[in-house]
Amino acid sequence: MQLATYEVVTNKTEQFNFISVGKNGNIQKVILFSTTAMKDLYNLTLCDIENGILDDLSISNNGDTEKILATVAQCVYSFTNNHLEASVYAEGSSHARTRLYQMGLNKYYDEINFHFDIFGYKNEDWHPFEKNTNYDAFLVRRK
Amino acid sequence: MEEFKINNLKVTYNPEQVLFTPENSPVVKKKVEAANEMLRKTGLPKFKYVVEK
Repeated sequence: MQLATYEVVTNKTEQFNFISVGKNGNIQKVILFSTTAMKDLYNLTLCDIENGILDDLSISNNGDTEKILATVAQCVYSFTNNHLEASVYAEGSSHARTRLYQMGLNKYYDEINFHFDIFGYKNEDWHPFEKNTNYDAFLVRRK
Repeated sequence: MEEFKINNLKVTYNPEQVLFTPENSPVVKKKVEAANEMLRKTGLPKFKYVVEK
């Protein structure tokens, strides 16, 4: 994926910090891959950092959505390079954010699908991801 | 600080970076609980997604 991405800072492979630069200024963000109750399943979180506190509901509207999504995608590549057996679960903190993830998956489906199995969660079960279908959450794992 | 690249992602290694965990962040805790709830209902997808190439 050759889209522009932000430079990230990390001290381990599970958390990546970066600064969104846009029309509303510089906004600190973090991408986290958290362990869950199931081995090899990690939860993806994208948050703003405000005064050292994580906020997953803030709407920064910084005009750089594409660059942020590309940065998240590259971090998923990076993380799964180090955790080849990992499945990554992503659910937006709001319906709008879930839709945002879905738009990114739709738009770059061919490239993502080349490297990852992609699943969508709806009606309380997993389905192979299909473009232009609404899901409640997503899961990807390396092929 | 060490810098390296993964694909086209430029990464800087900073051992001083603050880590956020479910123990020190309510947001992370809430997210992980949501993922665990999904797992409780379904587990991971059981089938392999067959891709036509």
